[in-house]
Amino acid sequence: MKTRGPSAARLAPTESDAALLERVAAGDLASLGTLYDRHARDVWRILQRVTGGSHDVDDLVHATFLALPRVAASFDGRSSCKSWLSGIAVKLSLRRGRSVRRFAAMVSRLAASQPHARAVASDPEGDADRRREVVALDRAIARLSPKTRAVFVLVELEGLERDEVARLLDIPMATVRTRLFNGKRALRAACGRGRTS
Amino acid sequence: MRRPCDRLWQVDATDAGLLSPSDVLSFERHRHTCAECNKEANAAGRLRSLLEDRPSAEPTDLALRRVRARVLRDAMPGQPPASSGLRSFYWAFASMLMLGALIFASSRMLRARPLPFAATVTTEGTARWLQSRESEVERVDLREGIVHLHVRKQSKEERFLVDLPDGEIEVRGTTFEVEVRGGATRHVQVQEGVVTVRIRGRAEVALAAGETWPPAVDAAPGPLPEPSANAPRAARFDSPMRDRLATPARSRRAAGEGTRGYAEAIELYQGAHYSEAAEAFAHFASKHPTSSLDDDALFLEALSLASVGRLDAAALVAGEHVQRFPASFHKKDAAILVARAARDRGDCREARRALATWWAANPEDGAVKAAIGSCSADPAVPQPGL
Repeated sequence: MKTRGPSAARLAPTESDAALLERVAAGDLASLGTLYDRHARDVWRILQRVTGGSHDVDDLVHATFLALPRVAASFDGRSSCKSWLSGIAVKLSLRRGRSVRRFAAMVSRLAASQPHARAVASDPEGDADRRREVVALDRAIARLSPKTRAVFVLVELEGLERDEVARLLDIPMATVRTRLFNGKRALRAACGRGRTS
Repeated sequence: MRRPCDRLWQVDATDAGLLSPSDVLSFERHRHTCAECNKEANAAGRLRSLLEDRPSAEPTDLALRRVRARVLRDAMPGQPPASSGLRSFYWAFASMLMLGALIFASSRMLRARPLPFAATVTTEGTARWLQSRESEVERVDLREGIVHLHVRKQSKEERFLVDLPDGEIEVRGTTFEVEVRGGATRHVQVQEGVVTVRIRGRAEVALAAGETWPPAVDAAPGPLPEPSANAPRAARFDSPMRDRLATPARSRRAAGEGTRGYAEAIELYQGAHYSEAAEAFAHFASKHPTSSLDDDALFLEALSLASVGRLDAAALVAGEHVQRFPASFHKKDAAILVARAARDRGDCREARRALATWWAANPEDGAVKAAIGSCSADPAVPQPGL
């Protein structure tokens, strides 16, 4: 079916996410492209953290945005579009990430990964210690259960409110608190071990 | 065994900002007298500090663009209505994943020998390259030199990629040539079909038959491909258009005014924003029907629609192109788009009619044979030229 006229998304770059989602629900692919351009990088980054750097991240981003034409009508505006997309992405990743093999591979990748150099290296010895601790933290995050890790990433790394995470992941608020508490306890313990080892 | 401090929970509560200021002060005082809470609070501070130091991975622009093109291609019209619900979508998605995994596993078990390669690679002079195939994905890793590739038509599950030092090329079934020198891609030339070129730091480009990368005129916003003017203008348009063509000055002015719109459409096309590019080309064509760029605009609109999987829409536009520009440089490729869509919807007569001229001229033409596909064996329709 041919359509005439310039891309509406191009003509209205400041259009709200909610308006774009409405049009995506009506089948407007140009609006889907605009939403992708706005949020794909954030969704990718969150998925990268939640999955621990899995090679599936591109596929999960693809699945998240591909789901939009079907689920866009359910957007109620209580969360920001970015948070809402994050919830969809994380739920998809949890469904996909149940394979023990993938989880084991992810842990081994993280274990083999090199630490990121700090910008300031005035104290090489202290800097090396710090890097070891960051590596230990990475490994500890990878060892968290996928569900606990998802809550930890959304709250602690992405700065979402606890009630917002509960709503986005369709879980009770108490569950969010429990997973967050367990995750932080495990990470604190790991940091302590990394520091003393 | 000593019982843990009953105020230990306030470490997390303080961290989360859930305590009132007076409770925070109270807990701070308590910390100094409780080694357990003090240790836990210090660990919490340490964790916060380390989290700030964690590197944050970022996606490459190339990866994002590639996923964008997949999303827009796969989100073509014809999906179930949005009311089908998020939950049912997830169930369907999970079921598809499981089904896919089962098919994949069974195919791996049943496969006694490796799949034959989909591409025939020939080199010009000395070239360093490696061809490999894993499951449904075939790759040619080109390090240096010139290679000619003929890739048979790919099934929906298959992918064919040429890995370059600075990017990649993806094709669905085509014949083309690639040159790599000094760790950089120098030249891509397409003989048949359509090739998608993704070079780091540059916009994704789809090349059709006869086109090359980098484009001959690489000045922004230079048109790609160069507009063809190999047909008499009066022969290109229906009668309502002829009156306008009778005034060359007006035609030239219209073309000048439309250059910006055409350049914007080309920019969208080169950026792999195919849906938007299709609309922009359509808009340009409707606003500037007498422009010398109209031939290219209409063809690129069809190509853009085909790139997002809207094959029937692409065929409609391509059919219009064939009718309006019978002597166009793009005529054969437009006819291929028409034939492919007809073949896919089972209309073999139309598929063969669209390509009858080229089929009669050369029954072994790979692009024509691929486009007609299974329709070539349709006994109900006599082959052209026989």
